[in-house]
Amino acid sequence: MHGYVAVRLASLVPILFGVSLLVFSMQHLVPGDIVDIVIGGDQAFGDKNAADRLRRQLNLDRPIVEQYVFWLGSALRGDLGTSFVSGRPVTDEILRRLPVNLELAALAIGFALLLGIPVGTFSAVRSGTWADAAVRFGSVLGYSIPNFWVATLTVLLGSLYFPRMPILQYVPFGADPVRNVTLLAIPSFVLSLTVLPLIVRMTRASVLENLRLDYVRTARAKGLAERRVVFRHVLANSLIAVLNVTGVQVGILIGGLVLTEEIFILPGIGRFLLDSIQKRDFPVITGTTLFLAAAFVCVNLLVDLLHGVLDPRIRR
Amino acid sequence: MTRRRMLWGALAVLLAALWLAPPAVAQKRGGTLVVGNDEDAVGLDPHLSFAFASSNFYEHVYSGLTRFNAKMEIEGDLATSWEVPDNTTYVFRLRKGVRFHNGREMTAEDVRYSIERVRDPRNGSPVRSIYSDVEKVEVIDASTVRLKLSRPNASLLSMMTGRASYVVPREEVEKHGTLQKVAVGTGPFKLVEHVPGDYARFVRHEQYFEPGLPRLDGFTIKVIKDEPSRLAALRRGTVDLTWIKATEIEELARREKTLMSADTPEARHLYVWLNTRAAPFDNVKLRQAVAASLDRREIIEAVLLGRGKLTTAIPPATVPYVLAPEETAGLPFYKQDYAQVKRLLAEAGHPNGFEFTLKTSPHSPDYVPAAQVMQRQLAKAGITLKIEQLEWGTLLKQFRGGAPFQALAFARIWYPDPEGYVFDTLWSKGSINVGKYESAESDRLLIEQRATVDPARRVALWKELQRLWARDVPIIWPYAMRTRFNAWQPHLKGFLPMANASRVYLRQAWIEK
Repeated sequence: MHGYVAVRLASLVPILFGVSLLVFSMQHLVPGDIVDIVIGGDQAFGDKNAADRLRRQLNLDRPIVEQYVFWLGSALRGDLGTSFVSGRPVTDEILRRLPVNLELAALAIGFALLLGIPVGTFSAVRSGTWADAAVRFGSVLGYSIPNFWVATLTVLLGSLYFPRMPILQYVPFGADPVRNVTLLAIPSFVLSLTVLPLIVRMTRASVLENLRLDYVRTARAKGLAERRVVFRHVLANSLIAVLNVTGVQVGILIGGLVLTEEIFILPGIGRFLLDSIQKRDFPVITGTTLFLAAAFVCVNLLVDLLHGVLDPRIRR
Repeated sequence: MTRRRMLWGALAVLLAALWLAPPAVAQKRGGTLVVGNDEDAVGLDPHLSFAFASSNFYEHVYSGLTRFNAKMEIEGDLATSWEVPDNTTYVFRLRKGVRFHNGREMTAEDVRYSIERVRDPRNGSPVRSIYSDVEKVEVIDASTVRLKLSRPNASLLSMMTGRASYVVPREEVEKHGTLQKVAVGTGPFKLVEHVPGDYARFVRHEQYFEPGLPRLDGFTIKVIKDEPSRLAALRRGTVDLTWIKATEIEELARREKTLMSADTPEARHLYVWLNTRAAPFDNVKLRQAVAASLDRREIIEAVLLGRGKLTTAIPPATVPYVLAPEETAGLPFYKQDYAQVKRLLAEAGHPNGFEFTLKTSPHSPDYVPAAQVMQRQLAKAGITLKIEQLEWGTLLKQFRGGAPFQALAFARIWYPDPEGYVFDTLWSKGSINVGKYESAESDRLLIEQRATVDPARRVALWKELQRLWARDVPIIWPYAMRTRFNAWQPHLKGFLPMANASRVYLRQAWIEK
């Protein structure tokens, strides 16, 4: 078991190295750097030497390979560099925003599971009926609608028709826990809509598959009530597959759905990343992406371990 | 008349007087506000920062020698008065007893230090060129500073107004290296907290020099990039004041009966630069043909939903230099005239029209729609416009790097003195004359206005230049629009929006609930 965890954690090293290489080269393939973007077209009366100076200060005048080696050197020492925009350490900036994302992801997954599993099970048990068709149609629709669109509509219509709706503000958990959760409820519900259809479909598929298995026939033959068959036996076995899907989604949700965070004005990592991309704040782009990649790998590892705990068949 | 009746009479008169007397405007002190801003600052140093958005933050912290009022006229700030004894000398008399946020009293030496800081090439200030004609900055006594110029420069005072003359305390610069992360000035508000990408919090500077100001205890600037979210936050009251840049969101905001707003003069205009050194636009007749094919009012209707104006090289906000609206409308090639286009094309040897490529970017929501409307209007004249959309960074890089182009479109924001951005754009040796326009007449007038200190004469020269450029078409300016649409909650009183997208009037604002 320990060996397994060690191997998985060791695999982080090549993954992070690969991600850093990819992100670093990609951001240099995109035209323009922070100096171009920030000076902009309007500040035309700036002088050209000043722009070159700024570039030199930020080491942007060095060859990309040199910049990368330099960056890698400090990254290995645990220093992800400082933001071009704020001049503050990238690591601090990420850690400061992390609680927002963790909370959002937890709430969103909570909503999705709470709604998704019952609906999926219902759909499977009633498979082939109109209700099942409606659920399937709804989940395809839900999966196809971009989340930022739902978020924009919620914000615009919400502010128009429900002016007291608790959105567009953020209070840290430590300052006022009740207000914090109230303010995050609607954004995380909107976020959960990205995961919900997947969970519904996965639950449905998995329950349907299990319903056809021999142990179900045995259970029914034993004279168990259908309700007990479904909830006690089928659902328990189906949830393992659901857990797998959920794990991957948690990784994605921690990154925040970048635009959704922006629309609800939540000070999380997604908004930070979006801003850094627009401003070509290279250390932040690299640092944040790296962090998210690491989080993704770790969450998946955690899910795999949990898998072992829940399913005796793969426990060694 | 009995005594009693007289008494009643007197009382009635008194009551009437009380009733008729204008109620004293209760300018309440205290309270805090939230301001929604579309961008965060990129560095807070008023002398070194490159980003416009930074000014939305540091403008509350610093004061300069002079400042603009709501009508964009120059008034004293740290300077109580100034004299121009001859063409090349400016003397500023300073306010006494002004204190920095760190408690120290500001002196003439601080003014000298601050101007020298901008002038020092080692600091790489983006506004350094404003002082290129300044030879010497001298401290005469504790409250008098003198600038000696090497040659007359009529735009100096206007250009200095604002951040180039902001006074910073030397000890803070030396302690922190730069003022990019801290802000210590003499302005009405102190910056107490800045969380990058999220918000900045300001509180009243108790020793601010204008008596009784500021009235607010403080305010927070919250960064909200998304336009619909900014409007929603304003509707809900989580934000008290914000501006809107997207036209369709502005229309939504205008429909809100419970919000206050005020229109500022048009200060942003679209540039369609034509490369005057390369085919086809090295031929002035083809430039004129393009200009005469455009129906500018239709572009304004289609792209800006009618919220725009005709403009020359300098937009309507540039009072008093701008031409009267009627004259602008009657300028050569400002009316769509296909007969004239046909004649121009024939004279240029292209009777069947020609083709050119316009580079632009979807960066601002109006660029591509404007290009598409022009494309349709030009097609009717037999001129084929091909639109090449580039990513914003690429467009700017090409613009700066001098990449080859035929036509290039993006918008710019004006400066109260036209010299601020027009000189280098259209002077033959100007640093941002990307269309490589060269005209002896235009150069002569540009140089002459720079040395003309007599305001009326200078205005006349600028008007002449606008007419000249309308005929020569080095650049087409299809329209001018407001930089920002400001909207706020009705309980915010005394706030005046400004054409240069500045919120310094928060210093006199108050809350009345």
